[in-house]
Amino acid sequence: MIKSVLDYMDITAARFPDKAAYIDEEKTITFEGLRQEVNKIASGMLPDAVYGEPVLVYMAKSVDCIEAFLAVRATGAFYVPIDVEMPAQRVRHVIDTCRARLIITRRCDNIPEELTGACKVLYMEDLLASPEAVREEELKKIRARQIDTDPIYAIFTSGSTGVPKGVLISERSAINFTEWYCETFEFTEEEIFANQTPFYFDASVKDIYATLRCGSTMYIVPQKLFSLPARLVQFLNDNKVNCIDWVPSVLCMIVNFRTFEKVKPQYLKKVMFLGEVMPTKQFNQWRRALPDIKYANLYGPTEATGDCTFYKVNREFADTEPIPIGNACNNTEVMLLKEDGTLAGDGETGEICVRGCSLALGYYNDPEKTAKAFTQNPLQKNYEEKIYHTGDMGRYNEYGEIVFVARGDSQIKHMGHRIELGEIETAVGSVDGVDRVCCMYNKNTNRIIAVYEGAIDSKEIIARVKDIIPRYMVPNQFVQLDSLPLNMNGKIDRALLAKTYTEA
Amino acid sequence: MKDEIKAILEEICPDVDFEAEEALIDDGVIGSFDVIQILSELMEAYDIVIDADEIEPENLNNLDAITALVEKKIEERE
Repeated sequence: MIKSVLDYMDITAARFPDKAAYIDEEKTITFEGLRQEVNKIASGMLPDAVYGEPVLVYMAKSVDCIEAFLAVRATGAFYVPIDVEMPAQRVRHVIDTCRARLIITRRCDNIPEELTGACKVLYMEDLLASPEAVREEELKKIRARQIDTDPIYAIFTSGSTGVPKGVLISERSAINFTEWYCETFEFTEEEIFANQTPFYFDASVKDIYATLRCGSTMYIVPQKLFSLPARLVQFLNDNKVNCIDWVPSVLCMIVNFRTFEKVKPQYLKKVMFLGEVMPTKQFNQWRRALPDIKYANLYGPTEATGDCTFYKVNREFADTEPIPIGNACNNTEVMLLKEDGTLAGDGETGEICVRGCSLALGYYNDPEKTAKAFTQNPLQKNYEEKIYHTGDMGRYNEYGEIVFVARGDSQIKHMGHRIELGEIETAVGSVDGVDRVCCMYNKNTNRIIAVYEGAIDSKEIIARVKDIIPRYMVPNQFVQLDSLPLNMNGKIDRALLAKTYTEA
Repeated sequence: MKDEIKAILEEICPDVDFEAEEALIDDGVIGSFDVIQILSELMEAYDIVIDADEIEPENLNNLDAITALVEKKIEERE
């Protein structure tokens, strides 16, 4: 029985020792090479890593980064992937929230000094170059102790109060997902994946562990290519990539710039999209250009291991018709709950709630937020059973498939990132000179708009918030008002502001 | 026109100094989503069509190159 992704690693290394597992611009690693390097790195981490505690992986997306993830698991700790572009102050929040004491990085990742002071830092180059032997016995003992409810990773997502929250996922959830994913899409060792999603997004779990389970090969696509559509498709052809799971923004870019008139993917057989709504118009352009490909829409929050529903496209859609998010994945039930806790009926809208194996263990070190998002299933009165409230609203269509309707709160999807507008407001509001602020999102123009009160120029605000929040969260437009309008309750009149600035 | 384009770019990437940066793509100063937004905005603002094979670093690495690309596309249109 598989109880850790490390079991996938061992099994596949025995089946396909010399086959290429992961490939980036600098490095190709075989499955056996991976196993050896993972054990070597883990051995060097043993004196500092603690079973069940977090280890931050501060690395740019790379083969090394995957090795670090697995090595952390081999020590019994769980990994926390960190975006190297993230402002140091935000990383500090992550360190404080998860009380991390250990970071693994590489010298080329240039970790800021203020972070090295907060935790012990291990450099992967040193661990790999160490003359000490692999500590086989100790690693074996840890493996024997590991159970599938142990955490595998924590991924930090935007939090509405300004502090990111760490979604803690168990091995069981990751394995359950990987098994379902590989079976549902019939992956084998013949699969060649091209990874797009950053490793600090849970979507990357799909490629990484499907590769490890099936003995497939995964290319890490050079980041620059996602700005250059013709070269991107050429990359797929050069490497005979036959399966991708990418965010819709990238798939849209390819057709919006008429890439297929210049170059078409020759080997692609399966295309999955996830992370945001796929516009049907662009999807239809893909389908017309590449009718033989199998397409699927995947949906799910980080709290449900990134995926809780799927829809394999099996019929035609008008450009104005939404592509359904489909039905629940294996070992998961998805319910549409109305505010009174009862199930939404035909045609009714309800909050998408999830129960089952995919559910996160909770938010790390945050029982309050955990209790709010993971609640007792209102349909189960007789024993304790948690469900997760996604905050997304959905309804059933005539085929019995779930269709995403809207967000129920102030969370947005901007450039593929899940963002709480509250976190941006907290950051902007923390700048001296800003008295009050309200952030909104214009879906038509994909712009984040900050309306604020205060005697400070927007350029100054931008310069300051860049150190607090990632650049994709920095508002695109600032509007300075003498005073923000208030509603009858004395609160900022968000509805009026939204009408004024996002519906123009 | 350069100033107009700069204003468009600054609205999409308010934290980037478009006067100073010389390798926006090659140095990863602007990400893929920024590029998509910038090009879409320019195509709409100037009623031009930019094709996939023109989306190359040499056409996008700095403000002058982007301006030259837009000017060329406007000329082709006329």
